[in-house]
Amino acid sequence: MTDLDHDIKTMIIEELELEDITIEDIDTEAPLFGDGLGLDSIDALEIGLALQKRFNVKIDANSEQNKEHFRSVASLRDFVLAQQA
Amino acid sequence: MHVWVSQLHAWAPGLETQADWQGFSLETLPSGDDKPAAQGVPAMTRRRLTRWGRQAMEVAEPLVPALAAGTPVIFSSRHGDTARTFKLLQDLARGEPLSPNAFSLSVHNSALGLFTILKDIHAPSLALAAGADTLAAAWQEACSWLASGSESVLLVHTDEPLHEFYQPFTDERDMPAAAAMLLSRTPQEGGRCLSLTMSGAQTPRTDVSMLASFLAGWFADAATITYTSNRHQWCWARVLTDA
Repeated sequence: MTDLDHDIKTMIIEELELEDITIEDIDTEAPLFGDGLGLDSIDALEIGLALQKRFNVKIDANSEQNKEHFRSVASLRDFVLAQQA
Repeated sequence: MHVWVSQLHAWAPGLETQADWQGFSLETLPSGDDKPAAQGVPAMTRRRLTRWGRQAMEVAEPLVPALAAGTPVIFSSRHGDTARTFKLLQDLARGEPLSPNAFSLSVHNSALGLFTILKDIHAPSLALAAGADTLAAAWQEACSWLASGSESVLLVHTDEPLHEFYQPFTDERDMPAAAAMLLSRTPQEGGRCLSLTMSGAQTPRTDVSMLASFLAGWFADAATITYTSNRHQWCWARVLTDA
């Protein structure tokens, strides 16, 4: 797990107030929405906002690629790295 | 109007069981940051609730099995969730984006909405605020439903003291607490029959919140419970019936 993975997991737990969930509980590669962690559309908006605040990442609300970026912690990390590059 | 209260559940920090409430005194009101477990709410939903909403769910939950289809639901609160509102207003003032979760739950009927979704309730529902008179206004609203044909009404009241920023506007002693009761227009086994009347305020206003006053009287099994706001004097009188 990279430092960035760690930071993204911390962000998800804090911003979404995931009671009883620790960083170890979140699988870097597992889906965040639906089956995996079970997050929903409001969580997606909350994560989008947090990414802007914490990582200065800009998200195009109409982009078709958002679904792929938001798939897992790993895809969020790649997205943040690509934006920061 | 005679109203039978067949069940009443209340929660406040440190006051969870009937026995706890027997020791409740208006001298020292409960405070602190304790939250109820609200086990009836799925964890993924519960995380989004502040104490204001959690305590409403906590007290309403035990009454769910007793709800007949079509039972109207009333949620009332004097101030609503001002800590949540304050945070949103602060973000707006700083030009920062609002939390989608906080925004979606910032309306007065948010706890009611979540409750009816979680419990799959399709009956009429209403969220109400009426200043210091809120609990009595909710009771009267319930009476109007009962008078127009409903057999029973679920009344849930939840109070959270004003956020620190608004404390200078506090005009009575209050406490974080919620109470849920099932009100019926016909005699209920084990129920208590009460009648609420209103008159012009002739005595100085009560220094402690209406919910606290009501719960103190309820658990002391008082013959009457009175509360005076700036405008009205309210009195719940115990009605002795054969039932």
